[in-house]
Amino acid sequence: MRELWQKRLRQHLMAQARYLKLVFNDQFTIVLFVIFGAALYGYAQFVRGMSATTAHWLPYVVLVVLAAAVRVGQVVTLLTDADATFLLPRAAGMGNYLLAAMRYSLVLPVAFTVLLVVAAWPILAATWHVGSAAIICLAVTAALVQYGDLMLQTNALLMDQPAQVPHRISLVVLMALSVYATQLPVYWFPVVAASLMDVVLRVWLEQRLRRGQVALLTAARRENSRMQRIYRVYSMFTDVPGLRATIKRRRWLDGWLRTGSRQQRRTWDYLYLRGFIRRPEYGNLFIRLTVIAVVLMCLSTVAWVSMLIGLVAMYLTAIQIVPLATQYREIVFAHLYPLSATARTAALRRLLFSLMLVQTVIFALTGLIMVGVLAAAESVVAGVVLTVLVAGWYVPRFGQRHLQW
Amino acid sequence: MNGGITMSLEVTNVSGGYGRVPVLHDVTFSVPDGQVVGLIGLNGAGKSTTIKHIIGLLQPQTGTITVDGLTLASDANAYRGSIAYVPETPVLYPELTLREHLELAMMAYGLDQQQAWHKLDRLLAMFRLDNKLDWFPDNFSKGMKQKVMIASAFMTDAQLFIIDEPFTGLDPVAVHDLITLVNEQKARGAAVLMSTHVLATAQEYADGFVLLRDGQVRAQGSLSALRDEFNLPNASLDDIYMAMTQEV
Repeated sequence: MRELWQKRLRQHLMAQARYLKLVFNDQFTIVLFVIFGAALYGYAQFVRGMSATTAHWLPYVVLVVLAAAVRVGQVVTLLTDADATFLLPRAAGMGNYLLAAMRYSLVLPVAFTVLLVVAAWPILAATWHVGSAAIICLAVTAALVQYGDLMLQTNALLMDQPAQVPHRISLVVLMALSVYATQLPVYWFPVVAASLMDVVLRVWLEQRLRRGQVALLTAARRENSRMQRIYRVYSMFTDVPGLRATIKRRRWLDGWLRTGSRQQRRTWDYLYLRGFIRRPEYGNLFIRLTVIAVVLMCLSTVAWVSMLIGLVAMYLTAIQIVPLATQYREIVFAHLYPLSATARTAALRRLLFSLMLVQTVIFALTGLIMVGVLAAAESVVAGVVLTVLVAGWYVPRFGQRHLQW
Repeated sequence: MNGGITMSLEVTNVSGGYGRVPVLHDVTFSVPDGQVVGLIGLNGAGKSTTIKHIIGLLQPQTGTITVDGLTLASDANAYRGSIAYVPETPVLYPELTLREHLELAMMAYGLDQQQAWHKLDRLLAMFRLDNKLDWFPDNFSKGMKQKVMIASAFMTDAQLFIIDEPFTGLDPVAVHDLITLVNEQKARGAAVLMSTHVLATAQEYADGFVLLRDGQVRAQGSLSALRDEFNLPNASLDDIYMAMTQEV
């Protein structure tokens, strides 16, 4: 079973590497660096200028965030629906497989929570005067608690297991107490407690794995929903085959949707508009990016900064909505309609044109209210230029590469 | 034209498949107007591959396929517009309601909306879908999804209907209704190519058969022609099928 895990892990890592290469493309990496740099600078400024009132309640927010972060990890089992049939005869002997899966699953949540502890250090140091030894102890405790949580999750994959929720909640409480303890002389005690807890959990889990049967259907279902969440993120950047769409009806828009054209040349417009509205990875993305841009523009008092924020939001919206058109490649009828291939590109161009113009108007109004006429004028000119570039240059090239079927 | 009878579908010397490996070898058959032809063969014999070539999902390596005298190369839109297709596995847009699926198909095929809805009223009532127009069919059962596919295909005035394994997942009432619809299209003069494993039904309702084996046409024609070919007088289609599978 260990070999099966290793084989699956190799395939999984190869697939993830392919997707990550597409996600972290040059443009997105540059944008990420800029956002990361700005966030670090803003954080440093914030900690330095923190008021006494903020210093009073902020450590408790950190406490809650770090405690909640215990639940961030999930066991990566790489089990599939087919395993419920083909691995059924081995359901009782999968201890090695699950232990290997749990070890692999540790990496990301431990790294994430340790980084979170490091990020919280400036606040804890400025408010509770926490030293480096206490922070190191907290980071070690966070890693040990994550390990404990993953052991409980692994146990939950077995049949006939007791209720997990009280145990998992007790880990959240332990983590919260550990954060609180950083300001006390016994800041080292949570490390001891968490280590003892992990030893007991490990002995118990190994016994359970020796005797227990894996609930393959449940495990496959959890793994499917975990992978679907990851693929949904990837799908914002590239085409992900096999991604099941989550649909939100948004019934309140039905009346407006019914008013659209029913002409043959608008067939793809009909489909893309409904896809955009009802697939959250597109509709929600548009709303999210627009709202974030408006909030950031409200903080700006400089016309060109305001315009730049709008432009970045429009650009990010456009490049992440364009893959919507490729979602229908797997549907046989999309290949059979008596329509020319260029109709798909034209419909996508019209959709993006409309969305980007809506954003231009919103950003110009925000600029007008928050900064003045100059900001509004700059937003209009820049927005129109970007819209024309995307609709007239980028989309036709995308269509040539991806929509010629 | 073939001996005075108009052929809706003509498949001539077609070889093709997935990639470079041919699955079909020199396949030739036709479906005349106003006739139902059953495409019969074991799993893997090439039935679905043949259908994929006809509807244009695969391109033949050699040979030609014409629908109503048109080829995909000569006029792709007219060619596609002449075909209505019911796939073996129902495929639906997850974000569209049943009403929107039907509207989309009407738009894509350039149908008159009023006339199409007039036809659909009967089809939707027949398949008990008339109260589900605002539901998402992606969440329907397999049989209900198949009924959506059938209603969507049969609201068109296509010249050629291609139905891949139509009876799988349908309840007996729906099977009966589908046969009624097929017979109506046949009476209108349309051609129907139907791939199926339900041989008793095929024998009863099809006018002719194409028996595929290992990507080749082993025999074709009416039931009596097949009986002569296999030298099995009074044999049923099932007997002929079994005889074909036992040939070396």
